Amino acid sequence: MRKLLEITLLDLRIYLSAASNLVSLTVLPIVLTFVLGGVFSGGDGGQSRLRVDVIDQDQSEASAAFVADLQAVNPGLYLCPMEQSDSIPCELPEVDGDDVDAAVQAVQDGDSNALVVIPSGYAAALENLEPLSLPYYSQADALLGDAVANSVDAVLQQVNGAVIAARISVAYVDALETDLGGDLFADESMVDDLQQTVYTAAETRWQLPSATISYEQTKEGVVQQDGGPAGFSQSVPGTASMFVLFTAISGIVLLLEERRQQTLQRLAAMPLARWQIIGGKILSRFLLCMLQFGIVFGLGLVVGLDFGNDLLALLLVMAAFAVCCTSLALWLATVVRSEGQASAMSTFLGLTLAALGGAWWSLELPFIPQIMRTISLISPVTYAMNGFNQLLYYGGTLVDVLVPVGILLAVSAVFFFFGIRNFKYV
Amino acid sequence: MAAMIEAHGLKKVFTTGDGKRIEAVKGVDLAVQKGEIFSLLGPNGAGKTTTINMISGLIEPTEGDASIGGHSITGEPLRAKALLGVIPQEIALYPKLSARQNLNFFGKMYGLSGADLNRRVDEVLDFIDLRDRQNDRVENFSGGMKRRVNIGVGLLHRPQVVYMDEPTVGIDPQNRRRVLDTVFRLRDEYNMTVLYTTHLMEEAQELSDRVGIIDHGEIIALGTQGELTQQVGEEDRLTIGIDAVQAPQQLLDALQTQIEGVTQAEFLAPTLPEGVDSEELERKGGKIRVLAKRGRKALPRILNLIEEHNVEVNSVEVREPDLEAVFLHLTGRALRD
Repeated sequence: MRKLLEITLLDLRIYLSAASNLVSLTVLPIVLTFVLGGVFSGGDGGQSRLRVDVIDQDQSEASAAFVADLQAVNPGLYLCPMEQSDSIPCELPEVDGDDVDAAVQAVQDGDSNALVVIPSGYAAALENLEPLSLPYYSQADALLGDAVANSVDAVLQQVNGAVIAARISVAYVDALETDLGGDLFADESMVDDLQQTVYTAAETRWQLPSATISYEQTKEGVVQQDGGPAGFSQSVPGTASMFVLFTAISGIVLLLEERRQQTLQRLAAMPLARWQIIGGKILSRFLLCMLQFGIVFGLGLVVGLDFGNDLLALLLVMAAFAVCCTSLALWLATVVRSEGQASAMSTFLGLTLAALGGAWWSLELPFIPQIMRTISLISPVTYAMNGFNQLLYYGGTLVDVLVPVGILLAVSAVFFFFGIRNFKYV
Repeated sequence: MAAMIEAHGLKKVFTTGDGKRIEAVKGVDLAVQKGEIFSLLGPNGAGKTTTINMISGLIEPTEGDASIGGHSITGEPLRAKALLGVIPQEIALYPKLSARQNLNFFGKMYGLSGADLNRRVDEVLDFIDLRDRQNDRVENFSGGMKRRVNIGVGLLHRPQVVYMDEPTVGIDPQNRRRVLDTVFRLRDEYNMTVLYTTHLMEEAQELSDRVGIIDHGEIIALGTQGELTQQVGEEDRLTIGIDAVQAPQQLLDALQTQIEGVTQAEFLAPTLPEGVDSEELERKGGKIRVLAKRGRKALPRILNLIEEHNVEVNSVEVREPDLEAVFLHLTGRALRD
C-alpha cells in the first residue's frame, strides 16, 4: 500500500507543479462558475427574487397580516427585514420612522428594489373603516417597480375587499334594523364582532386557491420558469462536474506520456504488483477530481449556495462521479494510441458529455427537447447533476441520490474491468 | 554453479492490427553466470529487446519461461524483479523532477526507505558523479547526464543482475566511454551480472565475457569471442586492390605455395554497372583476397610477390576474425545491414 501511495503522491506532485494544470484546476472553473451563475441568476447567489424593504411603523396584527399577505401573493419578493438571513442582510430598523429617509436612499442607490412603509395607525384605520395611505417607493426602473407595486396592489385589494365586505355587513344590519323597526343586537359590541367576523372571513376567502396567472420572468433572453436549478445552484455543480470530467480524462494524456517516456515500463520492471501501479494512478486521478469538486463547491460556499440537508450524500455523489470519470479515463487510455488522439478526445468528450448531461444548463428547462433528455442518459454527467439537483435544489437526502450513485458506480465497475484488463505498460 | 539468468524456450508472438501473427522471438535458450557480462548482439529488429523484456518481466512470453536468481519471472515475478536492475534504452525518468527526487522515488519503489534510502541515493549520486547537480531538474541535463541518472536508478537497490538495453545509443564518444567503464565497474567492483544488448559489434567485443548473436528472433551463435570467431576460422582476411582487371594465375599459385600461412588466394574481378566503358573498368582494377594465418606478418612478403609479377597495388585491407565476420559468415549479411 505504501508504494501505491508513493505513486499517487508523485503523480499529484507532478500534476500540481505545472502552472497550466493549476490554471485549469482553479482559475478556469471559478471564472466559468461565476459567468454561468451570473447569466442564469443575476449573480445573487442563485435566488431570482426582488428585494423589497418594508418598514412596519404600526407593529400591529393587521400590519403583520399585510406582510404575510404580501409574501403569499408573490414569493418572488424578498421582504426585508422579515426574511433577513446571513447571506442577504437587510440592515433595516424594525421600528423607527426617522429611518425612512435612509431606506428611501437605499432604494435610490439600487440596494433595494422598493420600499413599502406601513404607517402607524394602520390597524386603527382598518378597524374604523377609514381611508389610509401606504407610502411606496420604487427604483427608477419602471418594470421592477411595477412588479412590486402590483403585488402591493394585490394585497391592498385583498384588504380593501375585506373592509368593503365588513362595511356591507354593517350596512346590511342597519338596513334590517330600519326595516324591522328594532335593534337586532343587544349592544354595539355585537355589531363590532359581526364586522370583525365578516372582515376575517372575507380576507380568508381571498387567500383560497382560485384562478391564477403563471408568472414568468424573461430576462436577457432567458426564461426563468419552473425549470429546475438556476444561478449558482446550477453553475456550481455543473461547472464542477465538467471540470472533473476534464481533469479525469486529461489523465489519459499523462498515462500515454509516461508510456512514451518509459517511466511506466520502468515501474513495471520493478518489484511492484500490477494493482500497486494501476491503483496509484487511479487514486491520484480520483483525488484530483475530488480536489476539483472542492475548489468549485468552495466557491459555492463563498457565494452562499445552499448545500442542502445531507452533506454526506453530497460527498457520495461527488465521489461516485469522480470514480466514474477516473474509470472512463483508464479505459480510454487502453484505446487511444497517441497523446494527440488523447488530447482531442479529452476536449471532445469533456465538452460533449458535460453539455449533454446538463452541466451548462438544467435539463429541466422547458425548451430542452425530450429527445435530448433521452440522449443525455449516456452521459455520466446526467446522473451526477441529477444527484446534485436532488440535494441542492429539491432538498433531498441520501435516499434520493441512491439511484444516480448506483448507476455511476455500476458504470465505473464496467470501465474498470476493461481498463485494468487491457492496460499495457509498453 | 547455478546460472544467475536462465531462459528456456522463450517465444513471443505478436498479433498485428490486421490479424497477422509475427513471431518476434522463436524459442530462446540461454544461461548467464554470476559476475558475467553477457551481450546480446544483433541488428535492429533482431529480437534483442523483446527477449530481454520477457526476461525482465515487462512482457509475458507466449511460451517458455525465464528466471533470475532461481526465481521464475512468471511464477515469482516480484522476487525475480527485486534482484534485477533495469536500465532501459530510453531515458526513463520524470523530467520535471530533480535527479535526487527521481532517485528517491524509484528507490522507494525498490522498497528502500528512511536513512537507508538516503544513503543509497548519495552513493549512487557519487557513482554517477552527479552529486553537485543532484537538485537540478532532469529536463535541464545534457543527454549524457540524463543517461547517467538513468543508469543510477537501476543500481539503487544493489541488484544482482543489471540489464542494460543499448545504453550508448545517441550519446557522444566521451559519455559512451563512461558508460562502458561503468559496466566494467559493476562487474569488477560489485560482482554484478550484466546483461547487455547492443547492435554495435565493437561494444560487444570490448565488454563481453560471452556473446549471444541473435537474428530474426533466434540465437544463432553463443559463446566467448574466441569460440565464435573459430567458427569462421583463424585466418586473417587480406583484401589487396590492384590496377589490373585480371591477376596472373601464376601469382595466385605463388601466393599459396611460396608464402607460409596462406591458405587461399583468389581474384575478385571488378564489377561495374552496364554501359561503363573498359577504360573505367581498367582504372578501377580488381582485388586479390588472401586468407592467411598471422596475415599482418605475411603482408610484406605478399606485397613483394605481387610486385615481382609486375602488378601494381592500390590498396590493402587486413581484417582479423571478429564478430562482424561471424555474423557475416552465419547470415550472409553485415551487422549494419
